[in-house]
Amino acid sequence: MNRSRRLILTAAAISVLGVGLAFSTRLTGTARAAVGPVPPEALALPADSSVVMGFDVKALTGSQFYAKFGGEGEPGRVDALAEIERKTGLNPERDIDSVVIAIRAAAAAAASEPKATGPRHHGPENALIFVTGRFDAARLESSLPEAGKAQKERRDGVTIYREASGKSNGAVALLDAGILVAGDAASVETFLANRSTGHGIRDSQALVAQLESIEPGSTFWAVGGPSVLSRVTSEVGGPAGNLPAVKQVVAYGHLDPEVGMTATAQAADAKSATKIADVLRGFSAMLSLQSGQRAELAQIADSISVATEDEKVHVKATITHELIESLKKSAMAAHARKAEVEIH
Amino acid sequence: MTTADQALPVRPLWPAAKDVFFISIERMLPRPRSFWVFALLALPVFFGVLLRIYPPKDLPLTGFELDGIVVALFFIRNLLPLVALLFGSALISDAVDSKTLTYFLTRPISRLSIFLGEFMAYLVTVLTLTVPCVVLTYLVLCVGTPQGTGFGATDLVQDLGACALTLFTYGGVFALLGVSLKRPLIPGLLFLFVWEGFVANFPGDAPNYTLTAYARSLIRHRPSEEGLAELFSKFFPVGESVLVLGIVGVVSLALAIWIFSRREYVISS
Repeated sequence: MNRSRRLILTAAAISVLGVGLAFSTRLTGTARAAVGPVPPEALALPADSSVVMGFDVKALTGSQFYAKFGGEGEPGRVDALAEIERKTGLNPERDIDSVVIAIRAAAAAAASEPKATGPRHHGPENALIFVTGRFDAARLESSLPEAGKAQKERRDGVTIYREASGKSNGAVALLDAGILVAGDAASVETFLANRSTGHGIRDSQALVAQLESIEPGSTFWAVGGPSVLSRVTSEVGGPAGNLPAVKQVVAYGHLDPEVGMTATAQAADAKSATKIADVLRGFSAMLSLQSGQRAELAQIADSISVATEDEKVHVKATITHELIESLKKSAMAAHARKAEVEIH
Repeated sequence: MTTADQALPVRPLWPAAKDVFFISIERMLPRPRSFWVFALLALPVFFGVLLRIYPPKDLPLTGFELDGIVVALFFIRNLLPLVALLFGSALISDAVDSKTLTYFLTRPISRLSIFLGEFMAYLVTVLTLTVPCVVLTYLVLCVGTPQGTGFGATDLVQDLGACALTLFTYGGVFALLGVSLKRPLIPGLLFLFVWEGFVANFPGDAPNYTLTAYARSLIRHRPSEEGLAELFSKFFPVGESVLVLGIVGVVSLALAIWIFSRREYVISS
C-alpha cells in the first residue's frame, strides 16, 4: 500500500492545493470576489453607474408575495423582469436566478431632461441588465425574440446578439452558459471592455461601500447616487421637491412573510438629515390623519419608522400581505365607483 | 465432521471489501498502464503551458472557456470513458491474471465484497490519475488571465464532480461488460466511438440514449456550439443528467455484481 498511498496522497495534495488556490483568489483577489449582492461576474458593470439595483429572482418568483400579487397590473409585478422577458425571451420564473441592473449617470441625466428635448427613454431602455440563470446558447437562441433578425457575433469567447432590424440599438451578450448581459450596444461593449481589462464596479470605492452595506439574502436591493435622487425628488414635487440634497441611498428588503424594506439615505450634514426625517414623519402623520376615510392608511403610517443618525436617515417599513390585499381591494372599489360615476 | 466441512464464518461486507480494496489498489495504481494513462490525461496541462508561453494571436476564447472545452471534449467526451474502459473492463480479468482472485475466492469473504473492493480500488485509481490533471489544466489556463483564477472556482469543483460521475457511470458499464464478455475491449471501443461518438450528435431524440450527452451537459461553462454542432447538440438539465448517469451506473454495477456472483472462474495454473 505504501507506493499507492504515496501516489494517492500526492494527487490529493495537488488537487486540494489547486482548488484551494482557486477559491482563495476568489476570496482575496483584487477584482473577482463578490461585492455585496453583486456576483463576481457582474463586477464589470460600469463604475460610474448612478443606480445599481438587483433582484433575487428565484426568491422573488418563489415567494408567497409574488404568488398573490405578481400578476399583470398587480403591485408585485416587476417591470424590469417583463423587460428582460421582452428583450431575451427568457421566462423569469423558469430561467432566471438573479438580475443586476446598472443605470449610468449619463443615461440617467438624459432620462431626466425635459420631454421637449426628444423622446423620453424609460429606465430599462437606458439600463445595462446582468442576468444569471439556467440557460445556455441553445436555449437563449431559441427564446430570443425574432431570433432570425439577430446578428450573431463571436468575440473573445462571448456570443453577442445584435438587433438587426434597425428598430433599436439593443444587444445581448452571452458571457457563459447561464450568464448574459443585455442593454444598448454601447453599454454592452463597455461591459465587455471592462471585463477584459478588469475594470468595473470595484473602481468606485463609494459604490463598493454602498453595495457592501446591503444585508445579505435580501430579495431586492438598490443603491443610488445623487444625480438620480435629485431627479426623483424633483419629479415627485410637493414637499419632496424641497428636500435637502441626498448624497446616496441604500435600500434593501424581503417579501415574505411580510414585505419589509430598510432604506438609509445619506444627507450632506446632520441638519439636512433631520429635515428629511421631519418631512418623512410629516408624510406619515398625514397618512394617520386620513385614517378616518381609509383605515389601511393608519396601518401604513404605523408600519413606517424614521430615525436619524448624524447625517444618515434610516427608514424601515413592514407591510403585511393582508394590508396590501386590503389596499388593492380599496383601490379597485374606488376605481369601480369612479367608472360608475363616469357612466352616469 | 471433517475440517473441510467446517465453514469459516464469512467476514462482514465492508471490512472484507476494505481488505480487497487495499490489495487491489496496489495491483492497479503503481503500474505502467497507470503511468501511460496519466501521461495522456496530463496532455492538456502540457499544451496549456505551451499556449500560455506562446499565446496565439486573436484566440477567440478566454482561458476559462478553453478550460470548459478541454473538460467537456477532451476529458468528459473522450478520455475518461476510455480510461474507464481500460480499468473498468479489466477489473476482474486483471484479478484473474494476477491470481489475486484465486486468493480472494479461497478466503471467507463474499463475492459482493470482492467486487465492491475492486470497484472502490478502480474509482480511487482513476480519480488519483484524473483529478490533479483537471485541476492543473484549470490553473494553467486561468492563472493570470483578466478573469482571474477565482472566476471559475465553483465551476472547477462542479467539473471535478462531473468527472467523478462520468468515471463512476462508465466504470459501472464497462465492469458489466468485463464480467459478461471474455474480450470486452473491442465491444467497449465500438460502444465508445460508434454509439457514443455518433449517436450523441444525431438530431432528434437519439442523444437521449447515450451517456455522453448527459455527461457533457454537466459542463456548464463551455462556450456556445457553432456550425453543425450548434444544430445537432442536445443538452439536458443538470439534475436530469446526474439522475440518469447515477441510475445507469448503479444499475450496471448491480448487474455486474449479480453476474460475478453467479459466474464460475476456472483458475488455470
